[in-house]
Amino acid sequence: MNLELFFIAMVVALLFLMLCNLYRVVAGPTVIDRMLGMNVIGIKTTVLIVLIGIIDGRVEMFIDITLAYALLNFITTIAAARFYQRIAQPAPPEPRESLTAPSAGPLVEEADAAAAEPDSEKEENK
Amino acid sequence: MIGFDILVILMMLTGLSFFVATTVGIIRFPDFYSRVHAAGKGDTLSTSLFLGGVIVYLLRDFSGDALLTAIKLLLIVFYIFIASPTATHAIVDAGYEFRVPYWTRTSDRTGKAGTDENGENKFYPEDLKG
Repeated sequence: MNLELFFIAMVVALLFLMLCNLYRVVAGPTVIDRMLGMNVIGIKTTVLIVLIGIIDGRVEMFIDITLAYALLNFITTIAAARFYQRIAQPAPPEPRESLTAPSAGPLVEEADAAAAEPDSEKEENK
Repeated sequence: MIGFDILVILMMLTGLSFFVATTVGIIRFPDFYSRVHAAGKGDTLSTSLFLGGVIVYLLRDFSGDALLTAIKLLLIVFYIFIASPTATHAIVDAGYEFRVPYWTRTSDRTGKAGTDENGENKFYPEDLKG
């Protein structure tokens, strides 16, 4: 039994589903909806490339393309999600410059001051 | 031989039905969070079923090349099984930090949820609509 016609039907069905998902990418009310739609389309594309490889008769070559595409899709989604997550968050406070390296111990004056006034430092910590 | 073919057809049709369910969920659900729910579950399982069907199809006439290709496909299945829920989690995390409005009883079916009694969007930043 030759399954080639069945695989072609599966490819057509997957293309139709990708077109349906494209509606969410175009009409999604927020940016995050568009990202979700593109992620789903990318996952479908990995399956589509494998099926095209089977129809073409050179699965060994198309498998490597599929692996690269899956990796790229994942990295793109993670990067876009992190980008919009960082936009949503408030700006971080300005980093405080220290005179010495972080690995160095406290300065002698600072250590003396901390030893002389322990109460004020506790209040600051509160 | 024909048993393998029937197994391939069954796995791919099951995967296609899950893909259809995912697509219908993504199009029809009213809310970003429920859309993520539909996308994250269905895609992972249906991709695994599709690629499993391809593995069975390749291994039905056994050879060394077919075995190597099947192992690579198994690697892709394992990778997608880990990466797809991770990507979905990153997306829903970004949406939660973005304060995407969730669906309530007063919202309409277009997904623009979270309106107060005056019809104004409560937490819908203007720069998100684009």
